[in-house]
Amino acid sequence: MKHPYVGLPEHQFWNKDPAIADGTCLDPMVNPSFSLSTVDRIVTAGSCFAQHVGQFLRTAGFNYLVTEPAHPIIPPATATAHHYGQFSARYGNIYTPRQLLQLIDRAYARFDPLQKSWPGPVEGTVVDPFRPQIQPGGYISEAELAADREQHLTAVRRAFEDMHVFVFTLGLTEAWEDVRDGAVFPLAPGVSGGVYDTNIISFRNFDEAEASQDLLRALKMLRTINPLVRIILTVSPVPLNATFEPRHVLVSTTWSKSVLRVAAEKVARQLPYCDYFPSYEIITSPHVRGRYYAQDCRSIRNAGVEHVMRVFLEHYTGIGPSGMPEPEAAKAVADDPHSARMQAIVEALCDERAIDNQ
Amino acid sequence: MHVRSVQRTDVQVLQLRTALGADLKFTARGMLKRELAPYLAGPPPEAVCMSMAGNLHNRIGSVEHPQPFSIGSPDRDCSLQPGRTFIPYKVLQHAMHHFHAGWLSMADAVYEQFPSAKRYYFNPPPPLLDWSQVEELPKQLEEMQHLGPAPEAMRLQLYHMQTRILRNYAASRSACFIDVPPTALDDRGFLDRRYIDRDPTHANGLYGRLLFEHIMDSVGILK
Repeated sequence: MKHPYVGLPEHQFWNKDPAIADGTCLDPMVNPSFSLSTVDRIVTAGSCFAQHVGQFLRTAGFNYLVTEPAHPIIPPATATAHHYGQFSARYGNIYTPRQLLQLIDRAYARFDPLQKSWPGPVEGTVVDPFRPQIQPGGYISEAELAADREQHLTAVRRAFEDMHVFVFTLGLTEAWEDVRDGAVFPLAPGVSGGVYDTNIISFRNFDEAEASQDLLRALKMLRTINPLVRIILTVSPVPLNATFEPRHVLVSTTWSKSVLRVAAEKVARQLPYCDYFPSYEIITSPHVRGRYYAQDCRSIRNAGVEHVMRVFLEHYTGIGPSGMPEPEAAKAVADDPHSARMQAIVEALCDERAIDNQ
Repeated sequence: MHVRSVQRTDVQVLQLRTALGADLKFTARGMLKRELAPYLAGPPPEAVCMSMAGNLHNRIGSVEHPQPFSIGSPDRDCSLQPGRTFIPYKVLQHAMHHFHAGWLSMADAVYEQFPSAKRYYFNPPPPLLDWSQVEELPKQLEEMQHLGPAPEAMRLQLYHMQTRILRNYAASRSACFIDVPPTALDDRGFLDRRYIDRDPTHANGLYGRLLFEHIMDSVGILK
């Protein structure tokens, strides 16, 4: 009997999926619209899950573009503690499409928010309201924050202009907004610096229309800045940590992820240079039976990240599990050559001094 | 690592040195205990005066880095300077703590060997203002000369950051912190030209004598 489903590929049928028996085989990605190579410069941004993606790409030997690295004299432990290299630039988590849109506008001087700083957690310090946790302990002055922000936004522009591929992970719909100019902050003031003043701060929970519109505008802007950039959208599978809506956080999580998933789908369908990659589906699918969530039911286990990245690499690079490039992280972190040379000189001079004293 | 001693009347000056590249955190304590063993046999000292990690500020900022940088400052203009990477103050402060950790662990090991002794920690000398004050640069620095010295204010700031770390360390170990004799400083806080040695990273013998007297005065031994 003839019906519309006759002859359709097996991946379009639930019960044909081998992942029902073995969740590790789950591969819901179909027909990526482009491929990437190890020379393509990849920029990541978005929520916490995007950090995993960036780190994995880097350790797998891909050209993960970091335009705001720590200065070579800064040791890796300090760089990590201050969020250098966590994303391509030091923007911290970008949870909502509105935040991405405003970052682009701020980087290209099209938006100059009224709120320049928040009081920091330590007296006498300030934090950047648009990345309040980027600098543990805060900045020592408004002037220092302004200088670092100027350097940061330059690095953001360089990332956007030099990238070949932009991977953006949508994380949240809930945000806090300055009612005076619409500036959106990733965290409520008072959580990590700042003062919660209900006269100027209001809660926002973007719906699917707003999220889609913001995302579309942001990505079109990026394509204008960089006409050859290709984009991969993902939705973070990490549940909300807290909701301001007066309901259970799980219900808010479902709503939020649904909105973001719809926004990603609508935009990917509209932009021929943009793919949706189903990392959200891999982690949350019934096939994996919750195995990829850690004890706290929120964090993603390494096995989950590895599954996502295995599927990602297979589809976008053709690299199978056995052909994974040697992880770069395994290599020892070299000292800054200049500092090492200076150390040797200072020591050598000191030795000379000792000889002279004899 | 070796220990060299110079006898004075009732004062011993020990110079503890590590091999280049030694991992201080993991190797220093055991080695140090072995090196100090001969000095533990005699009567316990009344005071232990120590200075370690004195040249870290020079390592970071005496010579201009090939990728020049500037540092956030509570006292100076923080605006970005063309061609310089801006490093926020607390980022560099964190890094300085990191660099000092191994050395100060070694200092702990020394103090622990002499539990009954009063503890003193003396600050290393500040940077000199101008390399041209050095008559002839040592050959090791000649190859770096094209880079030139780092900006004056930054060199002084690095030294002050280091001083703060060492002062806090001393306080945390109930050690008296002996700062540089004021007469060794010029009006801006750099090393006075009388005490400049043949290399820009160390003070001269005259400074050593001044410091020695200053320490003895602080400790009250030779009065």
